[in-house]
Amino acid sequence: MRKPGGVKGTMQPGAHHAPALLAPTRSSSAWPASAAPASGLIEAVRRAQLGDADAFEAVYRAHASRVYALCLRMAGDTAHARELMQDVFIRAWEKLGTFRGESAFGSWLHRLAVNVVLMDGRLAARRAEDWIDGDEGEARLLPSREAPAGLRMDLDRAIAALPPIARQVLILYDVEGYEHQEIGTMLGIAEGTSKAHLFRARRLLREKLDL
Amino acid sequence: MRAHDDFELKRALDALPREIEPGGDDLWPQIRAGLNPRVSAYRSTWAPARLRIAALVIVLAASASALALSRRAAGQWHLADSGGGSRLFTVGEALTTGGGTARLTVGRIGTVDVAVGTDVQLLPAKWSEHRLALSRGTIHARIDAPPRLFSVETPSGTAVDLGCEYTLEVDSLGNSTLVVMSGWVSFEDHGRESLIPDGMRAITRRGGFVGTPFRDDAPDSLRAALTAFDAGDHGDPVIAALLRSARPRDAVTLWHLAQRTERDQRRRVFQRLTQLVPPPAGATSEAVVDDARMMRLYWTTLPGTSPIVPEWQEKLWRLWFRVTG
Repeated sequence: MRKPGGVKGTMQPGAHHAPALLAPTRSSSAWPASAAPASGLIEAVRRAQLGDADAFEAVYRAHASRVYALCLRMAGDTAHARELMQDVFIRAWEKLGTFRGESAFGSWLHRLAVNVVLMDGRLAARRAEDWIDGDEGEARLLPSREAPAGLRMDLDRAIAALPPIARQVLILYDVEGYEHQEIGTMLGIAEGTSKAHLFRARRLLREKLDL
Repeated sequence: MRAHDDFELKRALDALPREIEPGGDDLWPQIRAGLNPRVSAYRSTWAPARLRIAALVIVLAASASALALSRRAAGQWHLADSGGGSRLFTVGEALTTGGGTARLTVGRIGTVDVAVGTDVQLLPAKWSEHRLALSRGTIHARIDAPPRLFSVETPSGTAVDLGCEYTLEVDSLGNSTLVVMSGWVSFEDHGRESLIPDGMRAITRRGGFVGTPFRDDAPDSLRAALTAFDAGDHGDPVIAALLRSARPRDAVTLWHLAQRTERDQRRRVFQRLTQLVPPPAGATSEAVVDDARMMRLYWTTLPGTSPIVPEWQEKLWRLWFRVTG
């Protein structure tokens, strides 16, 4: 199935070795790699690299809402998303020295955020439970949870109610623009399994949205 | 029909807001509190590395010459029995506790409590290292030192301290049970090794394979299958039972198991392990099990583990520890 309007990108060299550290290879409007941050933000990043925590606050303010959107959609609940966002920015502070300015800072932060979210133990455990259930029969919907406060659209509510692994594959592919091969490596599943989860996620979404 | 539905869905997904303001309290104060003050990695990258290495070597050499003489006494063992007596415990000396207990003070790195009915002997060791033999009974060790400076030899293998607190029991047949309370321990025999972090234990039969570690709260089904596996039953039903019973908390067990199985079984174990805990980037197949660097990376992501320190760092740490007495 082709994604309507989707633009397939070229796998970056070495992508199969370190996909979790790569920017999405398909087009995505969420974290445009070419988007140049304002010069003030570049200066804030530079000063934060030198250990200036006040400058890092400016970096945080500029990117918090984008990071939070990713965390919220991947985690599916606000409390967990807030914890993940803290982890992302604390990790970013620790890793700032490795940012060399070869890509936009937003892209660098996005790669880091995806990595932190996927390495989160609770999300990994939920994926594993989902996987085990999926092995034994038809995929099930987890009990619907109350819609997070930040999610106002029906679609976001429907996404939050998806089984964890299906939700994460859908977000990584349809929202963040990663390829199945990359997603498979990041989540420790086969490329075909990633496609199957995407198919399942879209089917469940269509059912919930009456499309 | 579905293509149209997919198109609608795609349009809806594309229209999702890419930014969502976190509601509730401002998170910045909590993030700010979690930021460690650091020497800028950006700046340190440009600092002359050779200068820093030279400075480190000078400091090490100066420390070595100034402090080496003072460390001999610090390596001595002391024995205190439950009757209130206290004396030096010397290399080659054996201790058998009858109805009482004893405490051995291991130089300046920790203590070993010796339970009732236990046989231990202090063995010769290299400079700054400590070796104890436990042939029967129970000891409880608390060690605060660089890795591999303290070890206990038993009839079924050697417990090597990696910075930890643990209990080691040897039964009348020479079988050992190692239970780790904090830090982690390596249990080794004939080139085979189990890494046992806190909250886990390993049971090793004398003359058998080094026991595969498992969580104290592991399901009975996992324990039973692991007992069979460690006894040499590597059949598919045993492997299937292990994989079925394993929870994310049992990832350390599967990490060991992947290295103790071959071909098809290894593939299945690795696949299950990656379902429980995502592997590091680039670890795409069971072939990674033969890649020590990748397995170390994977280890650090497992619940309840500490990073495996590279060997050269361990050596540097031990050297520093020795010269500073």
